Amino acid sequence: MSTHEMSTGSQRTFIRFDLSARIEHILLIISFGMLCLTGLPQKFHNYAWAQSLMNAMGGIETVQTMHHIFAYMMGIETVYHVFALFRSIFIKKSPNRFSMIPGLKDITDALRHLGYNLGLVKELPKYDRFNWKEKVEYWALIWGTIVMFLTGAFLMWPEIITRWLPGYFIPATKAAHGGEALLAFLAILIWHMYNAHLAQGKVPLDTTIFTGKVTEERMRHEYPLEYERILAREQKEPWRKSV
Amino acid sequence: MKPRSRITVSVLLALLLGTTLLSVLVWAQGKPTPHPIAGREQCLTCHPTNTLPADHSGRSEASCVFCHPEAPTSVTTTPTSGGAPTTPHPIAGREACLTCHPTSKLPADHANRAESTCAACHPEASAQPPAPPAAPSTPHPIAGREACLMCHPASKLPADHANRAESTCAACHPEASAQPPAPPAAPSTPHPIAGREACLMCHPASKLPADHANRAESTCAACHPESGAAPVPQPTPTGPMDDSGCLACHSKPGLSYTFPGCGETVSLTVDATTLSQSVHGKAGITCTGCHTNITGYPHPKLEAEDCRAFTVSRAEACVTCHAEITEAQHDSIHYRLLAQGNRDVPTCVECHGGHDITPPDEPRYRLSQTCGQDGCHTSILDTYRKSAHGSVIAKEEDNPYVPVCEDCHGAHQMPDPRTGEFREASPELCATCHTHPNVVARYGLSTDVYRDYRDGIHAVLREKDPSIQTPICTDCHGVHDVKGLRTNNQAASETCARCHTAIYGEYKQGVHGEALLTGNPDVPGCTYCHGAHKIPDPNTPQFRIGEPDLCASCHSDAALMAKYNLSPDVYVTYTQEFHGMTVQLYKTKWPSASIYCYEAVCTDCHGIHEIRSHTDPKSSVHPDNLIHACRQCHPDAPDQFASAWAGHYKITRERAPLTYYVNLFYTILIPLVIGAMAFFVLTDIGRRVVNHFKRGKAS
Repeated sequence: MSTHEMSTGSQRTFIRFDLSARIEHILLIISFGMLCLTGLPQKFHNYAWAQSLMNAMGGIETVQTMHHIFAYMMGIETVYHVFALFRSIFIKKSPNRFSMIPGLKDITDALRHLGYNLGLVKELPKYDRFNWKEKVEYWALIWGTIVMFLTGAFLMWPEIITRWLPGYFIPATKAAHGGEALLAFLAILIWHMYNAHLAQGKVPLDTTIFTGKVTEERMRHEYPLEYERILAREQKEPWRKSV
Repeated sequence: MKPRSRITVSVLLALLLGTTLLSVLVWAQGKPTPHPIAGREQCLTCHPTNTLPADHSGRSEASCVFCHPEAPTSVTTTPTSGGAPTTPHPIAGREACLTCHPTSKLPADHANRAESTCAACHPEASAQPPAPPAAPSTPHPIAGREACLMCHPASKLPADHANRAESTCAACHPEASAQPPAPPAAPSTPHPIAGREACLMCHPASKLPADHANRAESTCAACHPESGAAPVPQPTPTGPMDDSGCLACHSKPGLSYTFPGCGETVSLTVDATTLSQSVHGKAGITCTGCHTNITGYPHPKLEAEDCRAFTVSRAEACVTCHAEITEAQHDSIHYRLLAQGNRDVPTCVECHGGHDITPPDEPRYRLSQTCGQDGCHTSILDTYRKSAHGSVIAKEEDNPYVPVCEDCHGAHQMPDPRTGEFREASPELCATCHTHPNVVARYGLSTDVYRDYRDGIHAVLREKDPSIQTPICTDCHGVHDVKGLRTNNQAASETCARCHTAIYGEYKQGVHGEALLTGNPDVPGCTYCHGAHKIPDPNTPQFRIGEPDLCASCHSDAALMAKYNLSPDVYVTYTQEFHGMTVQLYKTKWPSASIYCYEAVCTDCHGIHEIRSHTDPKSSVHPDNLIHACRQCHPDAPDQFASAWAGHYKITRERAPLTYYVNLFYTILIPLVIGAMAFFVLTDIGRRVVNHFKRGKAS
């Protein structure tokens, strides 16, 4: 869906995430959070904290059942996401439909950002709709979801999987499921928590993903290329300026 | 809000609700039940929990139908489960199916089904054969001989009769119409039986033919009736007088008396020194104090026909002074037998002596020797001498910590040790010493044996239902040949095998049993796992959940395992995969095992008593058989499924390359990715701090 902008009072705001994306994010928070909560204690079941946590949640079997339910929830969310993506690309042909595709610019942006942090470059790179940090996170999520669904299915239906694959795939997928889970959890903890809650201008919380709105000032500052593109389009096709 | 957004919102909210609902539904899907449910609501009877999918554990029976409703086709009432054969004999009166069809003979998937459900699938066949075919009829009257196992011990029965109850014998072996007059060549009893019913007293079990083992005394007369002409017991008498007046004659050697009734001659000579050294002599009691019938010379004519009759009549004189003891004696087995006319039982003088009475417990060991003298309880005394008790007191004759005969049996108030009451009370009898701190400390014994025994399954079972025969102390440790079993693993296990024969048979087939029989002290005998006195019920959830730790107590001992080239990591590797992890967590959540844990424990795969090496082709965990162990809980598992189990091995490149490389991949990837992310975050924070101070300086 295209980025709409609205005028509210003195300052103009832009709509960055439509309602569908916002609800998807809430579904992800719930399912991912619960999957971590019910999954990581299983990986670390030798530790007292993990045992107390699982016992508090009703015991190992309840925890496993919860884990399966939230896996289904995340699975359905993923299917919906693919469907929404398909609609955006092929039906609505949204101008932002390819904005998540990584490119060479993302690598140079990352290096420049790092250079800026280290004092080697004077200015931050100019970002488009999704900057390299957001792309890293999105594609990490895609990769993680594929691995987790694949290995999770192996673990949930070992009797079916071993009709086609040798049994030693089961312990291997269990190792992968646990490894990938830890990677995903730590990545969210460090990358997402920092970028959404602690980064410059985001403390204590970047509300955009819940309200969908970004102020004009932030647009200019954080996503200058997209901002310029919107302004240029409005000049050319003023009738498309929405509400 | 625009209409389009409203649609999206509705769609996504529906998704949010739908996911949860759907996940529950997907989770709860199940195959329909292919038979009518009415009348078969006890699902677990035929579908025991171990045949259910692993994720069904902990569900209650009542909830089965929620997911597995009756299939519509089941209305046709399938004639019961597929090929179940009908019962070829009438069921009425034979409802205890398991008696003749023990669980060990049933198909494996029938395990845990209740007897009451047999008929549901195996109805009575319409044409009944007259009874099981070739069972021979009983050649003697059954009335009065219902305790079949007494003469036909289980060890003599055909192998497939194991575990059948006595009460069912007659069902297949009815009384033959033409009764043979009695068992054939049994010799008749040459003496009157009345008053001598305690046959084993004179004919101890050790002297009986081998096939008489385990027969009860009460059945002897059935085959050995009293013969017509019974010889009568023999007589003898004696009778001195008081004072030196008596001794004037009776100290002369060669003085004798011949009983007219039987011609028995007894010496009438009394040794003056012996008499004066006796307790009575020292107390100044004169001859007539006891020989009250004699007042002068000539003596009155002896009424006693024989010596024995005289002795018995003399015992009545003791009561004059020892009334209390005599009173007490009235309850004793000796006195009761005497009262019944058995003249072979001892009276006062047989034990205490006549003219030579000295304190009976000087030394204490004498008390036991007295019982074994004159051919009375000789073989028992011999046995006792070799026992843990007797062997000590034979050396330390006054040892107060070791029981002699009378400590257990009493001296005068001596109960019949063959009664149920005596048996029931005997553990407490043992406990009087075996809980005594002095005794226990002196011989390095445990103070807890009695308390432990009371808490154990044997005592608990009998407490619930006194008709259940469970062992008491003496059943395992021996009665007069009492011995400790701690030091001999094999002897201890063979003791258990006397009752638990079938289980011991299984055990002997396994690695532990095989090694035990060669005298290997490292392997667990019965008591290692089950305990000796505080034997827990092995069928409880608590026992089940404790099994891995029990096995691990040896199998995690690196030194011990190295000796047999076994891995000490089996427990650790077990707890690292799903089964072991779940069991471990069950224990932390429900330490008292109030919830049954269906997760596989050691014995589910390895077997219980017949544990074999995984290299043994007969082993349930041999690579060729392992899948069958899996299928107990994962019934649909394909053949390849078994290799999902890493076999208790640690993950190494050689043993499990795929898992090894997956682990390696994440060991590298996680620090790399997270490190890179953390590095960037740190530089970003650093830049913000620097910027903050620069701006501060600028302003």
